[in-house]
Amino acid sequence: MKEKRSAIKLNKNLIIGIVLLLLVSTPVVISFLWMPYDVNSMDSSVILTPPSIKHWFGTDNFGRDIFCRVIEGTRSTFMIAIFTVAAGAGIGCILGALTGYYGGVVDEILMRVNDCLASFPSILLALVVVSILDKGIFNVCIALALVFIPSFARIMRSEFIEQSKRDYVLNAKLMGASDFRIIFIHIFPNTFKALLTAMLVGLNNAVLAEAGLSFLGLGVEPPNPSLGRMLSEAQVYIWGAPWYVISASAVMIIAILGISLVSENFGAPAFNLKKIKRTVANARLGETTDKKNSDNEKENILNVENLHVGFISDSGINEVINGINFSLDKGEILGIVGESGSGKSMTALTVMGIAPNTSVITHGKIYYEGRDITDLGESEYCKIRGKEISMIFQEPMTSLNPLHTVGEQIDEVLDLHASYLSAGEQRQRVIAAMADTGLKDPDQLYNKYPHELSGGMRQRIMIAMAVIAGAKIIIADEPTTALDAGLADVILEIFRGINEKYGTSIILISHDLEVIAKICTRALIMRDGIIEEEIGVPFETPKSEYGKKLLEAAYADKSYVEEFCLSDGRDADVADGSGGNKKDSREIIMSARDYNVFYRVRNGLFKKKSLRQVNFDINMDIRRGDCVGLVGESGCGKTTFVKGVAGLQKYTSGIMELKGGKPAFVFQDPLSSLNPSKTVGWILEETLKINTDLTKIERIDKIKSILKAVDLDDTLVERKVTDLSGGQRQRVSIAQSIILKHDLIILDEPVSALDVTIREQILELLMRLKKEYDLTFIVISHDRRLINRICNVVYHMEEGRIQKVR
Amino acid sequence: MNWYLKKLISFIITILSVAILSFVMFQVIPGNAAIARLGTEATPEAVEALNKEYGYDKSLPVRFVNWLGGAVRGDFGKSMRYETMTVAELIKGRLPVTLTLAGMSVILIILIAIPLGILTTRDPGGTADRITDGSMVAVMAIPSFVQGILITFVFGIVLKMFVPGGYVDPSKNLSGFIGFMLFPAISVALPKVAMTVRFMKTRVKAELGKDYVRTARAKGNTTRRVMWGHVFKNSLMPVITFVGLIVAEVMAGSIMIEQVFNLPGMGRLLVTSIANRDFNVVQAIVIYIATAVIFVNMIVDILYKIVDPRNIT
Repeated sequence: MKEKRSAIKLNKNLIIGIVLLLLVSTPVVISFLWMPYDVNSMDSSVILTPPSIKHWFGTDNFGRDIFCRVIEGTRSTFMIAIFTVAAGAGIGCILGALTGYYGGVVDEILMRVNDCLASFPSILLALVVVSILDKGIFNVCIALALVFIPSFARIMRSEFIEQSKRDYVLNAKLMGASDFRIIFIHIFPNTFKALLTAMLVGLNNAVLAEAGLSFLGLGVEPPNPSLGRMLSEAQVYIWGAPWYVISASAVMIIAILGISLVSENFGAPAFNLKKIKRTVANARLGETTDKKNSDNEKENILNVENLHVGFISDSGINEVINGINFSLDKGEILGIVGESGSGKSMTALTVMGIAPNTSVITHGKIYYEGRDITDLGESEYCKIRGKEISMIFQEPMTSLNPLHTVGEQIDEVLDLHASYLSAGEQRQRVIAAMADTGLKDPDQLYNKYPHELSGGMRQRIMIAMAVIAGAKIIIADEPTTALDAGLADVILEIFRGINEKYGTSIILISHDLEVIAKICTRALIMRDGIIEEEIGVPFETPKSEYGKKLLEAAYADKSYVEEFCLSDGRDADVADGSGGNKKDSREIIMSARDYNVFYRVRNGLFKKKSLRQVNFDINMDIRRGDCVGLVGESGCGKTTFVKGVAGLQKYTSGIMELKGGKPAFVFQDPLSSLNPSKTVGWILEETLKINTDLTKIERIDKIKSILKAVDLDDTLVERKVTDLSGGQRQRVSIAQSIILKHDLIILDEPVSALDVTIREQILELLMRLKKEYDLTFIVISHDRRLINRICNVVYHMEEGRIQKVR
Repeated sequence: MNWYLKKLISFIITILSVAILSFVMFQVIPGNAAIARLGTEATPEAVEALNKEYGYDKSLPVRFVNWLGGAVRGDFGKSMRYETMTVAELIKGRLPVTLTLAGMSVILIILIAIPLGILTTRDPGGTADRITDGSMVAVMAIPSFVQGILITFVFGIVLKMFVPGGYVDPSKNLSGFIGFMLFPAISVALPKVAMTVRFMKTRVKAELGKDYVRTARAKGNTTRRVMWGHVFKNSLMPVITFVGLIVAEVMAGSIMIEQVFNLPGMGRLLVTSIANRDFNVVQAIVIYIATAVIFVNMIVDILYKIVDPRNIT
């Protein structure tokens, strides 16, 4: 149901802004061709006359026509502002780009200078520069440009830092692009939007600043007009000739109002959220749901009937849940399984009544204990949340309020739903609930802040919060995904314990079938906002096509090792013996000896730099045709190590030898590793452009053949990466990694961001290409099952050290 | 190292950099001040005498150390325009005017902006939000001096609530002085109120999208309780920093508004001194203002650290 926005709809305020700007700029444009009076010609017969047909805005103290002077003043004010923004943005961008990209000492110094400049009020800085350079339009331009450079530099710096974190920058480095090319051709186009907004805001401020300077008599020199200059002259005649002040200020206000309306509403949505919500809710009121299985109500604690939920956008309402029906029995643990975007979390949030503000229920009903809670008022719903139904989220760190102690946060539930308890009783209950979840020393923990606890402890706090008011339903949305594998099992056991002890019904949402299998008795398989099927757990044979695929993929055990890693000219028994390499005749293409990687840590400009070691004494040989697996928990140093293999680490010791040049990379998330502002063709061609001398025609041929090799249609070359599906994108990354005939390819979680149903296809493609092109793989993953299926050599990494597992 | 000590050192370094920067800008770049003052046709003897009088004949480092030594004690030398007056004397009477104006403005900003911010964020898209939003856009679009002129016109001339261009010395009539400062302070504060409200709005909006807010709602907090108990405190932190940053802009606003209301503050002195190319005075004022701004920001940093438990290590 996802629709692309077809046409840009204009926001009302944006239109007003554009109209205001046109109102001011049209006379200015005409004035280049024709002007009723000379701006500086004086006429003593019409001194300070009020507006008339002859002089639309009246005349000033020298008998000059105010209308003409206002237009001329607007012109010079805007010329100065445009020059200022252009110069400021130009220099600021370059400074920001360089400091943001390179970082280091230069960045540190420039940021300090920036801090110093920020402590000068901007107008003061301009004043100072003008006072040194002396008055005059040109000097005003220079002064203002100088004032505006730091703000542009700051904006661009943070943009560049942000962009540099993306994998596409790393990817560009890996393909051998020069820094200059990366900065200006790869990154720069991705900062356009931020730059444009900054320029509009800058234009606004520049107009104000020029007016301010001229008002103080330090800007445009008399007799030439500028808006600020005229205002300072007009101020004297505020008594006798108010039209002078009014006309000058009105034009200025209209102009600035126009700019700020445009800059603020640029890209803002055009719909009225409240109005749409009201309409949808009213339409739904007439709807009659045939309230079936009313006998079952006593058994079912929760009923969801024909629920449709959509997000409101400019193109209408995009439904993300398309009519789901399910019920939850008392004391049951129900699983909801599906991939990201399947609507499982939205279902949970909608049941809780805390779905995002832009979403709306378009059809259907939700019943809790037989009571219709679909359109419950906020205050009524609040009595249900936390007391009757409570919820636990994926990320316990961000889900807790950083400014309150964890004890207070659990206590708050009692404040809301059991306020009859005394403070002492409340505290006792909180501590009991904390102990219930297996937390040690709950008395001490009560006064700790979330950041002082570990991930597992935080999730226990969340659980304590969910059970403390005696909720009958707990909805847990991916409660173990952010935790380590061992810890996840413990948390699941806590859920089972709560379920058994209190008879609490639990809805467990997860993408991971194994998690569901551990404690659920029944599961719903969701996809694209519908329930594909209801399945018994331990998993029965799925009835739906999708269910079959999902289970197949999750429990796939086809091993690729024999066919793709253990063929070509070596004895199979070599593979398992770590000491039996003598017989292996294959060429060693990567060899690490006592290899260490460090990060440089800097705490401040004047602090000594120190090195923190990330990888320790790594010894590894990789032979041609190997598929080497590297497993370990996130943060153990896997990625650091392979970046070292690619020669991207600055601080290393020991030996890292590569035969056949640098390796190529395939990243986890192609959306991040492929430049979002470029087309598929451009990305593939860029690699060839930098590394080969092929002609344009040869390059295009090559791209066509490589797209064919990864089973993509060559019409895709014109498409942007953002318009492709997840599978197509990963195929493009793979195409890019093999286009130069690298020997060694590093695959960093190559399939974990993909839908389970296409994982297998990509795996097959990778292994086929491995054989076809005689490639050697290093595969990083936290998924041991996957590694065991495709790798003939496996290393486990823990806290930066490796151990050979196979 | 102690965090507060570090903060203090960084404060001193920043001020020192400002001092060096301003010394270079005003004492080195403009060239020979004596010739600038006496004109190109001055006799060498006169130039030399003047150089000696102002200490221009010494080497740059010596001049810097001398100047800095004086500056620390509040002695910025003589005015280059009013020969009988020292810079300190010129500034002395004017500093309180500007500081009062800036101080009153900051208080007004806090008093007006935060309640307004709460009002608008309580019901996003509601009537109160739309009205404030509209008026804030308008207020930001109008330069502060135009607002000053309009305020003079409406409250001074039409409503006769104060005498435009009038001024009462604080040593003679303190309450009268504060009364006179009120309208200028409003003029300085208004655009910044708008900036602060909008900043608060974006902060609250960002804060509302965070996971802990979802948790707070899942607990059964009403919208109002979510706002007061959770979002408000979290979004107020960056607002504190923002108000610190805005002090610089308040100073800038004061410079402009003193012109509009004819107040004898540092802003007026600055503008006249720039016109007279009286760099000793300009430099002193620049340093005073920068020091004030940096000092306030240091205080804000310290406040921030005290309020936020994550900073306690």
